[in-house]
Amino acid sequence: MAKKRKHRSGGLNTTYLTKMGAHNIIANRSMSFSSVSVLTACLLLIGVSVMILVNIQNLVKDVENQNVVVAFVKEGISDEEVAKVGTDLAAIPDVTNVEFVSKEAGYEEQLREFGVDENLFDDVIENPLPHSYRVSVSNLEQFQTTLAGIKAVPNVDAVRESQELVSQISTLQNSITAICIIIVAVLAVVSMFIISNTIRITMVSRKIDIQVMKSVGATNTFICWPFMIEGVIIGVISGVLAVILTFIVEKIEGGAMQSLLEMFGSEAISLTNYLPLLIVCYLVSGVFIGAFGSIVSISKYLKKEGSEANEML
Amino acid sequence: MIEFKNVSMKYKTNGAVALDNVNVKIDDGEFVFIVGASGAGKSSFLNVIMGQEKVDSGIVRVGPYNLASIRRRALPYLRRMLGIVFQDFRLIPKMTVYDNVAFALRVIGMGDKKITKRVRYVLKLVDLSDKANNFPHQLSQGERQRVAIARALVNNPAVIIADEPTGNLDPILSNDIMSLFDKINALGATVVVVTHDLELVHQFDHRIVTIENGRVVSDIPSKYKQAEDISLRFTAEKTEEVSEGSDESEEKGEQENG
Repeated sequence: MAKKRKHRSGGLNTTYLTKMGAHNIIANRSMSFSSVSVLTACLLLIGVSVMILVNIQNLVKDVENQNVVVAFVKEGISDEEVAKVGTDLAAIPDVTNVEFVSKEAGYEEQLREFGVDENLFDDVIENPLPHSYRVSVSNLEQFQTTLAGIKAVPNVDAVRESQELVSQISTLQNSITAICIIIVAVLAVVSMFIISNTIRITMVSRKIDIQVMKSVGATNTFICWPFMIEGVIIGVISGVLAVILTFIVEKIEGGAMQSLLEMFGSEAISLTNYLPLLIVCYLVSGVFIGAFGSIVSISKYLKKEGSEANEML
Repeated sequence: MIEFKNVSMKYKTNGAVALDNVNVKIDDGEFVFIVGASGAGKSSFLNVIMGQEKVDSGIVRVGPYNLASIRRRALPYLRRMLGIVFQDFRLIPKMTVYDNVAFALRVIGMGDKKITKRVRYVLKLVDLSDKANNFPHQLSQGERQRVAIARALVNNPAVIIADEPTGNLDPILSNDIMSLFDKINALGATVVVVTHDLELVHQFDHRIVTIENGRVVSDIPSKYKQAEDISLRFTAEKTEEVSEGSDESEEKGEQENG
């Protein structure tokens, strides 16, 4: 009677298996091409969505920085009390900057805005403006709370703010963020689904290979390895292609985005600013989706034997 | 080498009986034909040996493995002691003849030098040395089956299992393939061939196990084995007679002496 052979995972010829995985990409070139196309398209769409999101976030930040609440100080209070108002305002959460504007400076600025000669009314009317503070607010979502805090500061007489604009920007930011997140999530799910189907089709086309491997006593690691290598190579190729295509998209559509952002007084963030991050994201996503997708699909099949395995394909 | 004890099994898909209380023992170096009509349970018998199907009851032993309790991780090692030949050859189309055969050795992590030596030897054995660099589509049906046999043999397995190996071949090629199995058996391997081709089976002198509706309905030893058994029985009877005769004469002698 034959002796029971020791179960050893040793002797796994990784060089041969890696070569086999690379060779399979060329041997199954039509399947590889479709996998690369699908993965590149998905990565590109995800990348473009992220690009839009980054720029919109930047735009909102710019608008936020421009968003200033003017707090007028009561008349007839001492200089110390005026300074105390500034300190109190700066202590409010979400207030990023407090700038003092004297009643004279405010008056001159107001006249300038109206396009009137600053000396024209010198003898006619007295400066009606009190001292004021320009208060920059960062978190638009908490704007109402911050505004209430500003109004509650002692010796603040009145407050001027563009609440409607604030509310519009806040809504716009939330909507765009939500839309982009939904787009990225949907695309990620869609790409996973398409990739897993592509891998499943690949497995059907390689059913005989897998059955032969099993019949000659291949371990699951041996069977998985070439598929994993294929997934990694497909992921890397797709990642590189997605980076190149993102550059092309930026060249073609970047101008349109720049003009759009300029309308809001902002400017597009250049792709080169976040290129290393983008490359890493693309490659990691590509390799992860490709390799992990392969392993998950094939593992499901390898857990089954005989007729159950055949039914899966 | 292979033993089925009270083995019963139902198909997972439709619950029909595949094997019904099967008892078969195949010794080392035996050549056994498993015959029966389509759906009789022949392939289920082989699938159980290959660890592709689990039995519902009974004991199945293949070499040192008890298949009723075998773990999934041990299956590749069970299969390495079996050489499996399929009706549809199952060659990898994008690999040459050499690579198809060498593949079974790469799976077990053998070095390239040993692989070359061993593959050359088995290709010579199946008379395909000159086709080593051909792809399967460049071969005839008979040649493809010989490549499949070479792949099954290359790992020097203890048992060769063939599922309808001549199903896609004409009678002359079928005979050639069966003769090749005969040659392999003569080299010491246990051979189990499943077939429904009774005409072919009767051209060879080997044990025939017939399965019908999942049951073993007959188990006929080879004529050589029958003759051997008869000869053994005859020798045993003769020995018995001789010993009885000598006992009698001894008794007579004792009586006479007494």
